[in-house]
Amino acid sequence: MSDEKKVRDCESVVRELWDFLDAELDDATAAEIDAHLEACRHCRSHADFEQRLVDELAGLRRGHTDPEALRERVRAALREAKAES
Amino acid sequence: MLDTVGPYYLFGMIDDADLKRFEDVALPLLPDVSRFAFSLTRDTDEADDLVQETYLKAYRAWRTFTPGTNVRSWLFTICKNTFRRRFRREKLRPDIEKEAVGDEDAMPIVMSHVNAEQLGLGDLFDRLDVVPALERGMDDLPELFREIVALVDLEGLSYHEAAEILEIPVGTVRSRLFRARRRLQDHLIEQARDMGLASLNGGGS
Repeated sequence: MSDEKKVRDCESVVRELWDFLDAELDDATAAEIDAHLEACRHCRSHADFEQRLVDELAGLRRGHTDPEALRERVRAALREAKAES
Repeated sequence: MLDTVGPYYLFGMIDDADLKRFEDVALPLLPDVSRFAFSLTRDTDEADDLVQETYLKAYRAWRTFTPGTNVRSWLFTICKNTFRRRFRREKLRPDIEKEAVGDEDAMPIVMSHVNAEQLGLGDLFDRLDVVPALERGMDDLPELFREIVALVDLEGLSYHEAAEILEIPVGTVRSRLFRARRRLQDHLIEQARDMGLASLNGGGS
């Protein structure tokens, strides 16, 4: 019985894990999940792995062009559009 | 629709002050729009063209913009719509569309995530050159998944904000995001296996 409860609790936590990591849950639900992660090594490991993926994805947030050159290009295009109006 | 607003002359002449106000508000957000454009096109030159077209459309629709609303989200929406109409190379594949659009329970996906510890991948992120691997993973993602990752994971938007920009329900954002991240995760594991960093034999026991 206790195993059943543990599985259900873990399932419930894993079901909402991405929402938890993305800070999409209300405070009370987030606190429940946080408490479970503190106590459950399996879910903690799972959460750590997913968090690391999210952190690494955030590392892709970088420019791929020269922003100043693009800004000047856009500014010139805007002035040309205005002149044609 | 934002980017189907007619030419600016329908709304009267845009004077110098309008242009300056537009530039003051919109141009500081150009790096954000540029990143999003690259996420969509995955090509620097096309991204620059997309950014320019986005700004021209936004400028022409400037008088329809509601002050106090989110300029960044407005620009992202115009960028997304412009990309879909002018720059999209790939036709939406029915299987991807079906997989992406559904708001079905994502539980099987969540539960099928690898147990990294059991698979010996606990330190995967320390042993793999992750950023280039994820960039390749992004290249391979279908557009519908890539745009979600770009908005939520790279730009830090909430599910609700991403849903507004993409004009889809929040549940669909959640579903697509789960699937996109799973694909990226699988891509990393595959890379690790190719490099001999993980010995995955179909199970964790």
